[in-house]
Amino acid sequence: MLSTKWDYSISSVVGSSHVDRGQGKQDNSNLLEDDNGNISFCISDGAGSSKNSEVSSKIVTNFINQEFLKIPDLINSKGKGPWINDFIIQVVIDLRAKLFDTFKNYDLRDYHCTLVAGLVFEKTAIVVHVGDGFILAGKNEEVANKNIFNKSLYFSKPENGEYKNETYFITEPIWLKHLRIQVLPDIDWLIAGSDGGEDILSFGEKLQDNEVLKFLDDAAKQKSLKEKNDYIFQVLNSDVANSRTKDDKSLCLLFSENIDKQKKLNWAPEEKLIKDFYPVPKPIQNPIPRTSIVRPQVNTYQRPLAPTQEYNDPNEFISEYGVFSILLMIIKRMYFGSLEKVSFYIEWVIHQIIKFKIYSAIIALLVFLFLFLLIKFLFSNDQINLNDSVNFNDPVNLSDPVKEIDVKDKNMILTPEVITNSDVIEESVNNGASVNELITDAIENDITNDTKNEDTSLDKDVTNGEKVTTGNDNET
Amino acid sequence: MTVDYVNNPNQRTPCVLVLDASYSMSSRTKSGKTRIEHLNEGLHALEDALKSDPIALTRVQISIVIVGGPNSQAELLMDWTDANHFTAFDLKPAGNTPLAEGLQLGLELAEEGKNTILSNGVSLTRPWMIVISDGDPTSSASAWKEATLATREAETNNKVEIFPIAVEGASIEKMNQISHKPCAQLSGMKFKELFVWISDSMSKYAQSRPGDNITLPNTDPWRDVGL
Repeated sequence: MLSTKWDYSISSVVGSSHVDRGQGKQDNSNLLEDDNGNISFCISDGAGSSKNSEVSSKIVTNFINQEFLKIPDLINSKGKGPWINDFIIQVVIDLRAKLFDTFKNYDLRDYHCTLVAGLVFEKTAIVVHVGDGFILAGKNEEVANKNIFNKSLYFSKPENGEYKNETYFITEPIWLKHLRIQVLPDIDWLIAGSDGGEDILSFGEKLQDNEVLKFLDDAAKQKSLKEKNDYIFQVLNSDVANSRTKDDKSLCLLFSENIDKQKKLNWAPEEKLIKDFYPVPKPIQNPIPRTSIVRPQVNTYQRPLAPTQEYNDPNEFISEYGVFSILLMIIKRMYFGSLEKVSFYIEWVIHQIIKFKIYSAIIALLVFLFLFLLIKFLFSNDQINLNDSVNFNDPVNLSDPVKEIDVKDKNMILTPEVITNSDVIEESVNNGASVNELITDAIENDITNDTKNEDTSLDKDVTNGEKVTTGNDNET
Repeated sequence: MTVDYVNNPNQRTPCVLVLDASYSMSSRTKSGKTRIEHLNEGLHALEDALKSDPIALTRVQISIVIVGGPNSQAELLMDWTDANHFTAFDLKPAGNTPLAEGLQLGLELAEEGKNTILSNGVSLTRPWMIVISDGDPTSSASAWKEATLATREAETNNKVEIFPIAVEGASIEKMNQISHKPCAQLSGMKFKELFVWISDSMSKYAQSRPGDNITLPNTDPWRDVGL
């Protein structure tokens, strides 16, 4: 028989999120005590994404407890030594073989579960850990009327991946890399839990000294085994627990019977505390330079928006701002409105160009346009001969040869007869008039003469009583 | 103070919103409102949804990058902010859509946010990046290629979880290049529903446990979303 006897209590409770989803309890916890008072405990948290983790975690807890309880006998026969590590690794290998055999499958991704286990004999614990969850143990020192409960603390931390919602499982091929075995000598109490159980005693994912002490203190007050189990069950089901986690939660508590529970439990601040196990937050030593992240100077989003006043009466609005300001507002709104519209259409066109990949078509169109303009320029045949040989400001010499000129798209032959037909022209020539003046006069005379002739011919037709026909004769 | 790790040491789920605030967002929809007005309503709905969920309120962290806007560039509009400090505000549309630059900025922010959280001794879940755009990016082809390579690589390396969301009229082909997941198409202008969905999903994700398979909330209110 052992000199140190242990009080124990262990419980698992289904999480509220699992109830909502209609899932069962994926946490499993189990504790075995042999005839000699050696205790083996095991908590296994099945992964939510693995559909059969409920079953596998149960197999794990039962198997581990039975195998671990073989260790004390082996220690008696072989003595303590490094073989214990090998034995534990072999137990896990055998466990995996059992899982392969049970599920007829070498791929255990549907059976993922973590492992938080330990063997407690005399005042020593050997704890085994894969993945998240925790094991916390300590030594008690009785001083006068109180128990110093944190005389020495041991902590097996949860192991998460890069992110909080990632961890490692005993069912993964790389399990051995994440298997942690610790020997905790000379302990008087031990708490183990799944990640859900850890949440109950934590604030911001860190176990809190005061929460743990309170839990231990309250548990110590329970006398019988049943009362202790009831207490743990009550803690796991409490509103506080449900507000801290929606996951399944399991806790296991072991007390050495050597502790005088009549004395008050204390946590000595000068001893090592739980918070000392967590790394102290410190700023990043060499932050990666982030040149492109420009912090806005003014946090506009933080600035409360100015309350906007609503005007029901236009006169009130006008008297508040004045007519001139309102006019400026309207002009500004119109101006910016049109500007925004223009920029919108330009952007739209660019979008279309990019969308339909018509760069080449546009370039071809531009080249064609350029060539067309070039050809038109080179082969243009505008003939304006008016100024070629006649100096219109010179006085007219009537004996000059006849010139053909182009005036207002009318070809007109300037003959001495045309020009000298009028006495006025002759007089003008004698007075030294220029060709421009002569031409204008002559054309005007011609036009008035033509109109007169036309008018008289029309009169003639009418007076003769003949039918006036225009256009096609067949129509009439 | 927009981020408080002392009073709230809970694990965080950081989320970068890369929002299109280019001029095309000012086009009017059948409802008579502009797209940006719908988006702004969505942001307000996000604030309400986050603040009505006690888990999301303590765990979700948001930052906002806009693409376009008055400076017509990708810029950080709102630095990392805890959900309980988040106050929605209105965006004004202007400028082009330099989405490639927006994606790069979003990736940098996610990485930076993650490092800051870890250096404060707080754990986190994988950061999210939600990209919402209504048009073709106006970034150069090379910048776009580089940015989409970076986003897909970041996704492969578990650096960030990306959700591209295409508003009506957006180039689906381009939006599909951002992530390994196909982009979701927003039917009509259901920004409000979208942001409520984002809040619900982040809340679910923020409380996920190791090995959990997250089933994101149903996207029935806007069926086109193929997430």
